[in-house]
Amino acid sequence: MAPLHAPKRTSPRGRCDRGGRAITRVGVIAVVGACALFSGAADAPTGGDPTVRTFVLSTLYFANPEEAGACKVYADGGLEAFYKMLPPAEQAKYATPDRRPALEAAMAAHFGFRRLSLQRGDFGGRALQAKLPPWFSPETPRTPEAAREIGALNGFPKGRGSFAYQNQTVAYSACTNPEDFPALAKGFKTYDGARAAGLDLDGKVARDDFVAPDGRRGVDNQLWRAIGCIKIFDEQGDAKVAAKTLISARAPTVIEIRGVTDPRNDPEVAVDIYAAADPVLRDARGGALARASFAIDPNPRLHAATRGKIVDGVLTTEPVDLLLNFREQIVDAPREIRGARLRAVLKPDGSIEGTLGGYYTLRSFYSSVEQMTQNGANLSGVNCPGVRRAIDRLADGYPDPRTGRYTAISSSLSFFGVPAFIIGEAGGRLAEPRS
Amino acid sequence: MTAALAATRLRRWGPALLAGVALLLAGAALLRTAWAGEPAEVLGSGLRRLTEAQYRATVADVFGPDIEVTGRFAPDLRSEGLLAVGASRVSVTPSGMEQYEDIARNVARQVVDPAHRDKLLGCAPGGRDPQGLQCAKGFIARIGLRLYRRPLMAREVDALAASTIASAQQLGDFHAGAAATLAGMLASPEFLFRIDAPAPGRGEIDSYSKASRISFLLWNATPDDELLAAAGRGELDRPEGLARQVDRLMASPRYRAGVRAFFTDMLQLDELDELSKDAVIYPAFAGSTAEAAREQTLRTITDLLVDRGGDYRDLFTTRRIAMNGALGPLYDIPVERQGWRFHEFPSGDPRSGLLTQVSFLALHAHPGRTSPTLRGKAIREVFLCEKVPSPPANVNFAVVQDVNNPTLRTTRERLHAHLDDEECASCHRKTDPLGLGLEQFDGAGQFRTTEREEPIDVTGELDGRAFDGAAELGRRLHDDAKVSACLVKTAWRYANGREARADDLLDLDRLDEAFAAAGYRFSALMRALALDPNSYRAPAEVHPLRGRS
Amino acid sequence: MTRQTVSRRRFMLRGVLGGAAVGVALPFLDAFLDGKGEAVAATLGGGRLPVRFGTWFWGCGMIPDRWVPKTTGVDYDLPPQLAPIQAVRGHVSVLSGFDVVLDGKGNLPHISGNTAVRTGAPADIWQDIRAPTFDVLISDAIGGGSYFRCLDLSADGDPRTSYSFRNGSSLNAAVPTAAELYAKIFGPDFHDPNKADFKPDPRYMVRRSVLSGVTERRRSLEARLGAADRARLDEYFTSLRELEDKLALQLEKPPPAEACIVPQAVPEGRGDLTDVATRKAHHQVMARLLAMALACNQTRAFNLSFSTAASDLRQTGDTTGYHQSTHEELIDRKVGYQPTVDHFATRNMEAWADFVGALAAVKEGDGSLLDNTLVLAHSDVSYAKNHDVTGIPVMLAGRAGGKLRPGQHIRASGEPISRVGLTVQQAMGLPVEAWGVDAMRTNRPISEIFV
Repeated sequence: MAPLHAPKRTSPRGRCDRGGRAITRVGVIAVVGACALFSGAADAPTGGDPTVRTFVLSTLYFANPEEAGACKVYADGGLEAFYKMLPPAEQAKYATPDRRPALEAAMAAHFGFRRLSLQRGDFGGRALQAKLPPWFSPETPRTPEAAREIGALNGFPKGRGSFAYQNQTVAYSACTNPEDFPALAKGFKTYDGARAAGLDLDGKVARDDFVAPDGRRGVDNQLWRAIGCIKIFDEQGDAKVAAKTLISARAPTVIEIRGVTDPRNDPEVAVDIYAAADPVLRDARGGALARASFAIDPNPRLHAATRGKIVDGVLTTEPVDLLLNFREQIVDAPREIRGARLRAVLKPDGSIEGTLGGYYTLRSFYSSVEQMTQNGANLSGVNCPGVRRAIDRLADGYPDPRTGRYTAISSSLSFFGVPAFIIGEAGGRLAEPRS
Repeated sequence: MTAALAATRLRRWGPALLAGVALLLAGAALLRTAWAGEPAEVLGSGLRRLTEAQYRATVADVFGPDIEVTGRFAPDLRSEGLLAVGASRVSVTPSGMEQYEDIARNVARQVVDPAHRDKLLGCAPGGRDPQGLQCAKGFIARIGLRLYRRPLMAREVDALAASTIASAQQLGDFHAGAAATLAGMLASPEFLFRIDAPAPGRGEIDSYSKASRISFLLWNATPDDELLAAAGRGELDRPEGLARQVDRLMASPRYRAGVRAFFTDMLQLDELDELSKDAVIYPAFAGSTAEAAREQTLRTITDLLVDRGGDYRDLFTTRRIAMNGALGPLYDIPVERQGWRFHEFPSGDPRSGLLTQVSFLALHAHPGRTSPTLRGKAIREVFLCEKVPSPPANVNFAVVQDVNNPTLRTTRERLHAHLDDEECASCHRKTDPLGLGLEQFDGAGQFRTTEREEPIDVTGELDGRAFDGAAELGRRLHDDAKVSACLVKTAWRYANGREARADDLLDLDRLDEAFAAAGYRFSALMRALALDPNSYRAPAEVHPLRGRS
Repeated sequence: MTRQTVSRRRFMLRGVLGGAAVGVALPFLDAFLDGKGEAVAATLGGGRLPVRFGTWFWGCGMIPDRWVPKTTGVDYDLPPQLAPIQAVRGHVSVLSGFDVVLDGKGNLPHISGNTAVRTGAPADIWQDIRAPTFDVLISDAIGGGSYFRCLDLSADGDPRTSYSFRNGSSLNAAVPTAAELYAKIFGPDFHDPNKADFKPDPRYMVRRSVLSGVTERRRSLEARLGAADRARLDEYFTSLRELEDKLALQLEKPPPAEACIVPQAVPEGRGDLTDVATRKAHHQVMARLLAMALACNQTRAFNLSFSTAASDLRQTGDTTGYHQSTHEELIDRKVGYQPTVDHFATRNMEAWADFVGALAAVKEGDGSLLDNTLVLAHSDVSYAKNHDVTGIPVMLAGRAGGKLRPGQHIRASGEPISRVGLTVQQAMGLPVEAWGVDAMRTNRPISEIFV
């Protein structure tokens, strides 16, 4: 009879030594009890370590402070802006929806957009047989310089050319180079309402701050001002829709709160934010499966640690710089958010719902827009030059010491999360967290 | 035949017909009263239909695991709680026959196809055997021994070989002819049924029948070449020879399959295949969960009872349980996503013992809620061997209040109504207090301490001994002598494929004592059953019109 | 229609002998068959088109006040739970007031009712059921002329949902999904009756002769078995014989079937079959397939169960399903009945209407397939809350080739329900004068339904 492999211990998170540093008061007995549960040969008890609350975020989205459609007139997408630039006789040619592909082609022709496939064979659109430099191969790192060299070989405007569509093309468009197309940015409509979701990031109530839907004043969310009137952000900002949508399920974010002695009121807890190495799973209802286990991505850049407190069931944290995975369809644009704070409610059913406010770097935010590609932006009604100019104009955080220009923009992402477990030895825990 | 003619015949013969039938009925009534109190049908166990699992295992053993067995099997019958007993009651219905023949033809087709024929047939027509008659004879004798679980007689081999050649001629292809014969053998009752043959003059069954018995008991599979050879040499008719084979089988890794098959039958784990839960109420219970739950229980059992040679009673208190990623969410613990591992719940944790495993809790519950009555009934019938009668049909359920009644917030309060009515209480007193002790586990087996914001009361008593919660109930079962006696009886019924009769009771007592003396080690019980000479007595011929012979 | 040879079926009156499960053949009943063994029923109705018989079963009955029509005769009223059959009411007769007479025997919930309806005898325990169900008796008589003696189907995905059996341990398992039904009927063994060319396939001959070789082993096997096991082996060989006959049929050109149109393949379904909407949709596909199987003469007898006796129907998201509701739902004082139970009871009748409609939709001869069929629909109880087996709801559909007059409500006052079983056997031409056991024995058919 072959013996089974020797039983391995699952390494329980929330080891007593780590949790201990946050505990100073009455909770000691509960923690000692929890430690006792872990001593000896036993693995995690039912429910896991009672002083640790872990969540995996099923969705992270820009919350709309109002009902969808509150922005009475939507901002034109790039394609609509081009259409409006045409003389009436031209417009008549593209009036009906079935003429839309022709309109896109006209726009590309007018502005000299280029899209060069790097794969064998044509995948439609305006791909041409690419001339590739001799050193180029599938393994060549996709650097901006490499893209420009390929562009130069293929008649792109001087110094232009960027990798796009998951590095399968080299492109030049209003999304790769919005600065080249100021005409499209003209008249881009930003959000001018009085309310926005979010947090007061700078501790001041200024003239261009918003009022939150729950009445808090001084809310800093210039990013919403920039994108709040774009139709897809307006629609996808509806909490009811977002609650049923999984975003970045392939590469979710995990939040671990340790040292929790009282989930209603606890003056000091440790909060770690990780990138999971496992995807969110769906349950039988189609939502995020609760109480699943996640291995953690060991990359220390994806781990952040901070402190927080819970008052009347609401968790708030100190600011910390974050890098969150964001992989959704063809977009892989990690969100770099500086000075991020959390404000979240721990619900009785074990789930979490809250807000993550901070300064979204312009570079990482715009990357998520650029990665849609011109084609995707046209489909989603997004005006790339309009967005670029708006976020540049409205940026209000982290000025570059050399140029004095702001590099980040106040923003707010809302989230839903379900209970989860962390497993495995590989965790950002072993490396120095960024703080 | 016109209707008028039929009517005439009826008029003429009708009265006689009726009289005849009436006589027969009267005679039958007499016979019935003469046998009142006896079970109407005296069950033998000399003809047992293969279960679907046994059929598949046999094909894999004889022809290799890459032969696909596709088709729908007639459902196996669970009788007195065991499929093994039901196997002695069922026969083959017309649609069942159709299906067996279909499955047989499919298997045969694969066995003779170009990819398999060299290995499985090993010969072909040609040279000195132009038609393939010798090839057919060899193949039939070799395969026949494995399929019929006994050597074929020469005339049987000749008849089947002749049939093969005839079929080959009609179909124009030797291999097609061989496939036709093979399909017939797989559809034959000698394959589909395990038939006990008497050993002439010895008062017991013959050695090939013994080989079948021990092989299906210990491996749930058809006897292998070595066992058949030992039977052929007469070794199984001597106690040391039988013991040697039994020990060989139990030392093999295949013994675990036999243990798994026994507990699958006893715990009714095959019903997990059909189990579904309401997706809205129990979203963590997904497609693969039921299968994982079944595998979990079987791995836990083999780990304790086979690998560690443990005490059967510890199944009710063990905190060591097999776990995989699909089950982690239901058990509310961290688990690696891939593969199986063993999880040890800490002392004092609510999970401890078989009764707190999802395979038990979810199986004996409704799609959207718990059922203390079903769980209590399962404990009584499966672990204590006590029969719980069916509810009377004219039950007035008006006293059982609806789920949304604001004054009766918990399941315990709602079920209390069962105990108000004496007619209901007589049975529900046996089941509900046990099931209510498990009420902290919902219909999918997930742990909770409150129901509609009321804390769940899990106190109860088992035949006078009180307990609080599932872990303590497990300890009560561990300490109850009836539990081990029930296991012995169940294993005995499984091995023998029938209910125990009056003259078996001594045997059961003996086995009981030996089991206790062996520290309740399950393997000791299996060995004792395999070596029990009483199982190998030739069945007495029982004829209802003449009394026992 | 060409004559099909029918193997002589010796009527095994097992149940009648009570104590022992020894089959006794009554050879003198062969006198009711003509010389060639052709069953009378095959030529019923005068002629070319065969008359089919089938049962339709649903679990958990109905609410009598809301189901039983108030008026009798033709043009009966349709109370709320019967309202769904409005479109097909002209085809359907309703029989009320027929009881299962327990006569001191226990009432096994969801077992006694349906088995007594089908076997004419209540039984104390499952193992005591020894008589075949009347659908088996009928299909034995009329089923010999087609490839399948009988088709047993269930719409709930479970092959064990079947109320057709020869005895307590010999359940005729059901084909439980539409996809399987399609594969079984219209799969590789299907002979299109309307195809012009026909050549007997030697593979059928070979299969048949192989199986007859198996039969030759019968004597030596029986010799070493006890009586009970011999009877089980007997059953095996009877089934084997039936398979041989089927294969023999494949060697003959099938008679043309004017209404036969081979339907589209049905893919494997998905979804939760306990959800009532999913069940109804699945059932409808099966009903249509069955109708075409009948029109193509693949069988003349069938049993279809819409739900199991303790009906497992539910609505996704409800903690309590239909069956539990029948016992636990309080009567809503405002309306005077259990609302959830009423909902499901009405859904059952909608499914029945779907079924009748599926048969009526197939044109055959001068009318429809339904005109050449007799369907008996029944449940296992009347008022499920109490497992009441009095007044079990029964409906008949079809004209049985012109023999029956449909569209009536016939109300009995507490008569044994074996009258229904006797009536349908006689309607299908079985030479049976009386049927049922003990208190349920009767010799009075329900003559009002005959033309």
